Amino acid sequence: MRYSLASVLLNAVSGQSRWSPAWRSPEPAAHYDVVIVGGGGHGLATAHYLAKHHNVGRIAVLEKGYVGSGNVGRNTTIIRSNYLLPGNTAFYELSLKLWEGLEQDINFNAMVSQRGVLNLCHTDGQRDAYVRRGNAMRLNGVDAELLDADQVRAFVPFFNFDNARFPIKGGLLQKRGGTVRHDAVAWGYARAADRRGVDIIQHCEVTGLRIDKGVVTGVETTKGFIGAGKVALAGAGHSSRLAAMAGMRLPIESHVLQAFVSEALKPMIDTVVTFGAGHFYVSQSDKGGLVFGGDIDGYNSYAQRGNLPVVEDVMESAMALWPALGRVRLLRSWGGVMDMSMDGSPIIDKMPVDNLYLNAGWCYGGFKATPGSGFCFAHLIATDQPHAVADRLRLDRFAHGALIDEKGVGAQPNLH
Amino acid sequence: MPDFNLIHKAVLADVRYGIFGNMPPEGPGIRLQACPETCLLHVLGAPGCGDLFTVLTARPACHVRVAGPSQWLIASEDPITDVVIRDLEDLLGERAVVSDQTHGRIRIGISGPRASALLAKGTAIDLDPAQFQTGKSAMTLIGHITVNLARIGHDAFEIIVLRGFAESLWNDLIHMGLEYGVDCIPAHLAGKHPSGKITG
Amino acid sequence: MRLPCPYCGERDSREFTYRGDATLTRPAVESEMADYVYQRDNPLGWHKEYWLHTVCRTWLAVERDTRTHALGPVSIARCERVGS
Repeated sequence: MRYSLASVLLNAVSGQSRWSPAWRSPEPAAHYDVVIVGGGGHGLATAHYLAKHHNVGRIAVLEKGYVGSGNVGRNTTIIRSNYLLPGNTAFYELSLKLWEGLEQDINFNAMVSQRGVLNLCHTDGQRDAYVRRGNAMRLNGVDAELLDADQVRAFVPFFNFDNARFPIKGGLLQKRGGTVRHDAVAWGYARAADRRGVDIIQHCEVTGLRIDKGVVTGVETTKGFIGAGKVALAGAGHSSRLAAMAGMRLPIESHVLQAFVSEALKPMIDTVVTFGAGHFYVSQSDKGGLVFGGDIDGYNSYAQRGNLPVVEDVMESAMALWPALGRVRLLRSWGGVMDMSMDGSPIIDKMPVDNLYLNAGWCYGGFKATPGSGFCFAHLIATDQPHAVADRLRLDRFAHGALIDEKGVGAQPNLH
Repeated sequence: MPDFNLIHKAVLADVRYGIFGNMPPEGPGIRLQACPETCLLHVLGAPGCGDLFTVLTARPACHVRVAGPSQWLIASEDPITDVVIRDLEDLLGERAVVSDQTHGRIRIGISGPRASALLAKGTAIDLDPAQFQTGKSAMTLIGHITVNLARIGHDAFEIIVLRGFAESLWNDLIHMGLEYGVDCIPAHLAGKHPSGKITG
Repeated sequence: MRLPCPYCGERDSREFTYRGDATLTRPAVESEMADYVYQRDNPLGWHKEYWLHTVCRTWLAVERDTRTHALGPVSIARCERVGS
């Protein structure tokens, strides 16, 4: 059923009895033209755009858990495209534009809220870096505004502006950035893909790849062998394990990133703010909880739960920036396992095995990239050519030195 | 003539002194003491030098702290001179090198009935007297600051910290100790405890 | 998580800094350098890795389960390198 005012009214007068499940739960067929491994945001978006824009035949998405159980439901829901380097700027801008039209495209209310993303700076050097980044963004047609201290004070008056160590000197604002309800993104893409005939198979873990003379022919799963013309890997956090099934290593380490939500409060902050002197970012959900996050735990982990020192670090940063949070109680925290790539940027590329494609290495940036990643990955799978905005996100850039290292920290995945 | 006149000033000369926090009737739970910046040496052992702790402690009028594998810090109330360093170098020979750290690190004394409770807020070391006996020392963190922590009595500790972090640590220690009452004593009153004097 | 420093004893993980995969060996030939710098096994399960005990400046070689953070053998990395 298409969601509309009419469908809401119809169900209102019929005891909510006419809704149908948002997507089917089919048994896997023996063969698909494209099998996407990983039913997270990126895998489902890939399926949606493949089915919508490319004529590739039958498509399946294999998810080892349930839709929304992985990183798509474990992030801090922020969207933005405030990147400096060629290779990232245009890609994330495409993604942000897709967010802007997403709800109409997938007929699902994902609560896309362009409430702005403000990055604070606390030193003159940091402001210089933001001037440079803001100019790079504007040259690429992305919106960016540099705020001075007074403008920041007018925009978000409740922070500690005169902290002796980290005074707020200004900020880089992207007004088109904001937040999106992350579960709704997973559900919306799943439903939209399903309506175009994609089989979404949950609780179906891929245990091996069948490769015949350098060509992938299907996947071994907990529900048996599934033949495939093409296999697309989108198993964020576990990309190294999937690549190992093809006998490959990746320039990736898996790390856990924690996020936190406070008890529900009355409206306190109507935008997204990142602290520039520590790793801390905060926004407020529609339910009223303050949603905030910090740094990764810093060592390889597949644990989907974090450790206490990072909790302490995040709370210290919160108190340094926003002392009013001192009496707010923390409600929940959670962790997601991410691919931290060696230069902090993602990979959308073909693998050395024929008909095998890789979408990996999203580091912190996975959620905001969801539509762009799916769109470009679908293009690559269907045409065997990289999409123009993703043509630098190559797997061989590491060997060739064409890194996209926004932070400039080198091959230190835990520092990106 | 030098381009700049170097001003020798104790790093804790201008920090907050006096009494802070809730003062219990029986007196302050914590006494913070800025120690005089007299002499602090770092001894770095050569590979295979063995444990030089006993060799170093045999010398008079000095306190030896364990500062990592084959590393020791030596503090003394006597002012540093070239002779002190040369004597120590002669004693150690090829076994270790000595570097003067008097300018680089300072000492803070922490004593009082709640000293262990205060430090337990900042360090991962088990401060139970059975585990961390008088005379024992270790490298650790207090908050985010690396320190050498030594127990010099049942309720008395001494911290050696890099000079640049000293003021920050001093303020942290006061903040951590507010619930116990903190009496902060400047270096020139070392050895004297002006109890009852309320300032700040 | 608490890590046992062979020198200082067991300490809270915030006294340590993670220094990455301990199984890598710098290659002799240029052609293998990119793999050495960038490619990782990234295992699910037991992982041999370096940790620096920041306060005493000792490099440790630690075996840790990346699923549970359970610890296996911990040794001083310097001794390990000499021995291997």
